[in-house]
Amino acid sequence: MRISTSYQFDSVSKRIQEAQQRYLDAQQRVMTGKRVVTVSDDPFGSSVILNARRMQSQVEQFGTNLRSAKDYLGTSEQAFEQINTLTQRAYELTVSAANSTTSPDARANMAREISSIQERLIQLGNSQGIAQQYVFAGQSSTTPPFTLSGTTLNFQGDANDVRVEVGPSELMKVNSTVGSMITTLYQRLQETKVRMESGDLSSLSNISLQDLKNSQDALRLERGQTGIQLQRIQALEAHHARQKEDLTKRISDVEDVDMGEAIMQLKLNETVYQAALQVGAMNDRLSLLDYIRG
Amino acid sequence: MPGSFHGIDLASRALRSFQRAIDVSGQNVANVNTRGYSRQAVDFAATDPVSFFSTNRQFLGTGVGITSVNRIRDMLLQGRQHQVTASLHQFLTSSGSLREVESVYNEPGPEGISNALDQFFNSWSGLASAPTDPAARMQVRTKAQTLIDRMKTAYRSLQDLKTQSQTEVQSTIGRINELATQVGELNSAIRAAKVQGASPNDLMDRRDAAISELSSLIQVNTAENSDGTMSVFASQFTLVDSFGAKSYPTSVNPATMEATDGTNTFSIRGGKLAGLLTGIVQSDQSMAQLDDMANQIRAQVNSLHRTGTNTPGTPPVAANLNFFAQNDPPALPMTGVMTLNLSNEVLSSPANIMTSVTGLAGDGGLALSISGLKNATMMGGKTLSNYHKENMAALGQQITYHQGARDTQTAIATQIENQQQAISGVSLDDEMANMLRFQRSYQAAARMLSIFDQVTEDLIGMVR
Repeated sequence: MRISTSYQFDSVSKRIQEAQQRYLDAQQRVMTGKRVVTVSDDPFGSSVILNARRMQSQVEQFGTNLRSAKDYLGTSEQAFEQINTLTQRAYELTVSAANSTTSPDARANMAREISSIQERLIQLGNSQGIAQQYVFAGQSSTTPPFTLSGTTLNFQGDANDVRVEVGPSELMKVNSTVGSMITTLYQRLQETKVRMESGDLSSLSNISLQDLKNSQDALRLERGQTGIQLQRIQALEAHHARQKEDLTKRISDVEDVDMGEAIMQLKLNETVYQAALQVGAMNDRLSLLDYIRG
Repeated sequence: MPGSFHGIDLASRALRSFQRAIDVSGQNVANVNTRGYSRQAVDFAATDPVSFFSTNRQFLGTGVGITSVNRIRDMLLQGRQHQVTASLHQFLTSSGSLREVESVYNEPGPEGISNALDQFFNSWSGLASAPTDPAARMQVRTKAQTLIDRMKTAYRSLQDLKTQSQTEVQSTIGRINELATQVGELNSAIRAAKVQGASPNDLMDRRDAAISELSSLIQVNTAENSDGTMSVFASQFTLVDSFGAKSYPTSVNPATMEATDGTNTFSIRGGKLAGLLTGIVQSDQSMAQLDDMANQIRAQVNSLHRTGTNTPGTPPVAANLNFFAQNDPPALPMTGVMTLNLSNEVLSSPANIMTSVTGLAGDGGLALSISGLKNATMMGGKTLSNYHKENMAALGQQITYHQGARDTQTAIATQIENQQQAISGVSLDDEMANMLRFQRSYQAAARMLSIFDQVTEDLIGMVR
């Protein structure tokens, strides 16, 4: 082929430019660490990234939701634990009150302690979580569920479930429906107190002890439920953490540059660029003009 | 019958011819860097012989003359070059425009609409899990605002791109007309020169350059007429004929890729013009897709949100509050991205975000249903995020195709340009060699002249 002078120079400058472009591209890949910046860099890969990112943000949301589930269940658990201790104490008091050797003064003191246990029970029944919600109020969680009128404790909450989305279309019930349990317990404490004050020993040992035991059993059941839910949350959290890690890796696999390879490419392109420059410089030196005597 | 000075005449003709040949080489060297210049070459031919009589009739050569100064150019290759230039510039422009459309979306990064959409629906799940938490309520409002902002920003950028492309279409047509006028004027000059029997090489080069630029704007076909003029056609539209140039119609329909002058329509193929139209069509399509998404989001979220209530009762009474601003029937419904806004109620207080079906404060049932919209197939059998994702993938594929085509056309164009250069390009080495040859020939002719001069001198001296 006949080589024209402008072709000679044009092709050299074009090759240098191409080599430079490739060098810069490689440099950019190493510097940003990203292989896919726009959809057209890899349409299929982008689709994978978008899916993974979608799942990731969902998993993150479930993680946040778990926090409010933990808030509910943790607050309930703590309340149950304290109610259990209180009930245990009431039971012990009743045992000693039912003893005929106990003096009436001591019984009156015990009745007073039962009173303070009752007050504490109301407080615990109206336990609030971090978001200021009353955890035992069902869905009516903005108003205190337990109010005292006279000597009767009334439950003003509802029996509806509070549910939290903890996985794709997976709902977890996080509240305990303990309205009647607590009002019953209060009622039983009230009766026990009256019996202590009146010195009705046979009722104390025959009825009150059994009543308090029944309340304790009912409480244990609810507490067990709550414990199971809290364990499930722990398992879910571990699962979410794994899933998040997996998704992050999956995004990175598609989106990020393999550094080793990218640096190799950069080196290679640098060499090519240098070679192109060198050849270009040599090209200048060859011309018939140099061989003609002037 | 050759005369006594026949030799001197012959030598001087040779001197003159070589002188011209050196001039032509000089012209080639001078234009070594001129774009579109075709190297010129001198056609030598022996001049008509004279006859004389010896024992029989004989012919004696009279030397050399220049029959023409030709421009060396492959016209077939040139036609091919015009077609390739048109395709190359079409794909250069279209891939550029499509990439601009793509950059509007910020996908697949975390700054994209896709992510905003996911987070918006997820925030409803968060609110469902903590309906009494004011922070969760604020979160829903913030995420909704982010989604609206991202969609609107994308939409506005698309509008800008479209306007910009439309302006560019008009200026491209303006340039097409300028070039057509130029070709028309060069046609007249060339015809005038041809009538006098000359070969106006440089004018023809300039005309070729103009047509070459023309084909980077729109695909053209050319036909050379017998009078030396060149007719130029853009599909069915006659841009230039031997009578002059005609203005290309400025009314263009991107969707059909047609231009119309009111009575006839002409399809637009190739060149920057076609590339720009591809960009406009894509902008339109992308805007329509965003509009569809906005309409569905508004309609679906609102229709659930309106059933929500915050006052307990049996049966619960819906508050009929919109989440996104919407004209109540029977007024015309709002459409499109640009009217997607939070409703005044939600703007004035996050407490107006409904979470509840029963009206009880701790009920997140409605929020959960709204969050569930992320999995609802509302875009013709697709979920919102799948619809968006598929649109993005389609756009990405299209860009890949246009970039691939661009690269192919670049390679072909380079190859053809190289072939044309191999034929038409000036090589300094070549020209130097030619100049040496003509210089030597000139020297020889000069020596010839002095020999003839001596012979003549001897002849004159003989009779003294």
